[in-house]
Amino acid sequence: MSEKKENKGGLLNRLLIENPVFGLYLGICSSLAITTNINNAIGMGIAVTVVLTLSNILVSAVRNYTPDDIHIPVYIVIIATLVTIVGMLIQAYTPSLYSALGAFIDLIVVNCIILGRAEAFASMNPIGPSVADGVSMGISYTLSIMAMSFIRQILGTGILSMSNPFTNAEIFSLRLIPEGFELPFFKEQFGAFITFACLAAACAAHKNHLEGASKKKGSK
Amino acid sequence: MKLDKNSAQYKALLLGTLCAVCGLLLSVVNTITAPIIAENALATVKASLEQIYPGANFKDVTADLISQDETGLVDGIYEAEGKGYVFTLHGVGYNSNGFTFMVGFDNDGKVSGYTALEQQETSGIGARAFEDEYISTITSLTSSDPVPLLSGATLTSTAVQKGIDAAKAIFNNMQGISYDPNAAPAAPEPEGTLPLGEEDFSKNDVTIEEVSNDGTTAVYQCTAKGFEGTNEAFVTVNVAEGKIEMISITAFGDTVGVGDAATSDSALAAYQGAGIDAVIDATTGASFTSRSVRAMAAAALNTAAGKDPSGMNGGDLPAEGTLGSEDFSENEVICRVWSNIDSSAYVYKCSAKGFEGTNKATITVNKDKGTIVSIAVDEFGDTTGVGDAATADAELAKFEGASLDSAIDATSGASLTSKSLRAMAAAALQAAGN
Amino acid sequence: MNLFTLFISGMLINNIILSKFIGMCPFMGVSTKMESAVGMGLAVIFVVFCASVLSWGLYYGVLVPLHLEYMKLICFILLIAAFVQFVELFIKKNSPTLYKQLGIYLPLITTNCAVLYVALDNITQEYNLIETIVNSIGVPAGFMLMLCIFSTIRERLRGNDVPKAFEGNPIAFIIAAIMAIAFSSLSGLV
Repeated sequence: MSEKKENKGGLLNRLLIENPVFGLYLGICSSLAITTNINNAIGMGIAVTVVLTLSNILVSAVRNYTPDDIHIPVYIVIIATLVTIVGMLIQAYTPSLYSALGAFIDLIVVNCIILGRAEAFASMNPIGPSVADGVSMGISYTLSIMAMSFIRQILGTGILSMSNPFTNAEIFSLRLIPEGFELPFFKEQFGAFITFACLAAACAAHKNHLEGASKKKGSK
Repeated sequence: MKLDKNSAQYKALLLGTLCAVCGLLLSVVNTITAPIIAENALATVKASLEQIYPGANFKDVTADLISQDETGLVDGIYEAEGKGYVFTLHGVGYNSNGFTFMVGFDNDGKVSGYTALEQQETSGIGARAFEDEYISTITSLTSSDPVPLLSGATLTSTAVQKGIDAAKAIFNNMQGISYDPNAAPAAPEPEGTLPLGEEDFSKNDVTIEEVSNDGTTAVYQCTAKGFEGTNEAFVTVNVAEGKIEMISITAFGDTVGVGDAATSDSALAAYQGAGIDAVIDATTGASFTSRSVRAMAAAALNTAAGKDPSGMNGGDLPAEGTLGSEDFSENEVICRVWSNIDSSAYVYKCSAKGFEGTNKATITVNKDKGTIVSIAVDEFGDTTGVGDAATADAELAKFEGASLDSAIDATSGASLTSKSLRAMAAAALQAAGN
Repeated sequence: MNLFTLFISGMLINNIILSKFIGMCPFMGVSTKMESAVGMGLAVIFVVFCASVLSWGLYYGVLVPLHLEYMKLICFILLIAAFVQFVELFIKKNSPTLYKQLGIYLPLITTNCAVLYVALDNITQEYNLIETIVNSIGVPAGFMLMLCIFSTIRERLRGNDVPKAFEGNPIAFIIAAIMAIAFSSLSGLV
């Protein structure tokens, strides 16, 4: 039972302390730029998760055949191919998402998370655990940027809405802040930085709290 | 054959195979998705294209033809199969965000449609360039005609004109139509003929001087603007009967071989015995010159009858429309913001051409109400003793409380100076309102 | 397009960090001290300029004639990685002092979003060679400007009483937020 607890702690751990965005500061560029609404966040999160998982699988598959000194170009080619394919599919089937995400789809290739996980985990572990790692990292990234866009969209436009990216049909739209009382600067750069800083501080505070608690335990 | 993992050949082989596989994969995905992407792009534009050619089959030919565009104003070129071509263009009018519009040409060269796609121009001013009146002007043109501007919406219609000219260049080049890219648009033809006393000759800048008047017969030396120059004539009037005895042209300023049809002996003979109620037909093919002759005749008849040349009993000339709609393009108005802190008293320093010089004035505008608070003339550049009738305090007082919808009467005998004041007032109101 | 406008727009008005959010990852790590900021900034200007011009040449010289535009991403990122590797080896061998000042940042720059972004942007905006050159110098110049400004601010912050949770990167983001407002006032300029 303690093992399961550890795992649970592991998942929550991943989410809060080893959070790739707010804890480890990886993949910041996209989390600031596109988190103006939930649609973009989910779309980007799914794209990154797919690329991350597939790249982990492929890197893990070739890890035994790639000599050390050319491993960076090999990983780069793999990731770049995956990103280009995902980009083409997004452009073809969900054009509204493509125009919203813009250049940041192509910039997934230099998203520190993907190359980082490939180097740190997938190049040293078999395919199974690599898949799990990719999926969990991807999900925690998606949840992080969803949190940011949730805050920014509600405070910035007062409306919480989602639309189907394939057909542009609106799924739901909820006005949570009365019209005229929303804070439009959350849609802009200032709001992005502030939201990010507060969420990062929250994660840091939680980490400090946990450290304080374990120190107390340790000293006992 | 086992290759050493660390040998150069292995590395090269690995990288090479990897790149080849990836390249192949990408080209497969590309061939699947590229047509869908192209279709998506076309679909978004198609809805707008159908406004010009409903139900047509459109083909995006932008990539093939865009290199012919030297202006950079053309965004897209679409062929409506069997019917014609549609150009999507952009331009910047008054609103610095710009606007997008499209124009279509039939295969036979006629303009098939003109409509705005996205525009944020000022309603009532620049936005008129996308409304029915101007739309019908454009759609009556062909691809070789020059595009006329819209008075009162000069900035916006100039941008539209440039865009359509860019589209015309490509279209005419494609269809092999020759045209003069620098032709000036025809000024609107005067319509119909009215009795001499009712026709509006305000644009003819008539001047009249009495040469002799013995109570029975009066001779006046008149000048009036014709097509492009000024025509001069001696008009002899029978004062008692109020009828013209003779007109003789002393100076002809219009186009020889064109306008002089209106000054031929037979054309002038029509004026003999004409009174202020007479209807003199315009000479076809020389309508401007013939109008200038009618202007001089009317001025002479009016003066002989003791009225002022335009037929009013002294006092003010009727207003030429509201401040917001009058055409001030000849006045070359410049307005600079002097103070825009107090929104009930925005101050502008303006200058405008009057009769022969430039007049300068300080105009205070109540931005909240969109009305003029006061006008003070700083510099008077016109004829002292003539134009300054328009700058008298009583005349300037007429502007107080005026908005763009107000019609201010011109000061008779000083119509051009008066017009320059109106031009500055309108410009200041427009600047404050935007 | 007016070259001066392009330069100012790339450097100040559409500042890559404050306006476009690109290049943030190494930015947070390196902007703590002035010397490292200057070193990183110069390295970035050099790499971005060379890599962008080379990528532009590669795109219009090789990819477009062969109709291989979709290979753009792979080719650009490989070109950038190879170029940085090459430059690092070159500096290491030929100038140990320069290596000490700049060379250590070079591996960081490979995955810097800024380099790839500028290379891709030059293609998206369809700039010609001169515009590419101007843009590729202006944008990283703005990056370096931000690095220097931030490092001076963060240096001053070290002695201050920052709430524990905000120590380190979060407070840097708050600074960035305030600077973003300051720079957004330039937006109507061109």
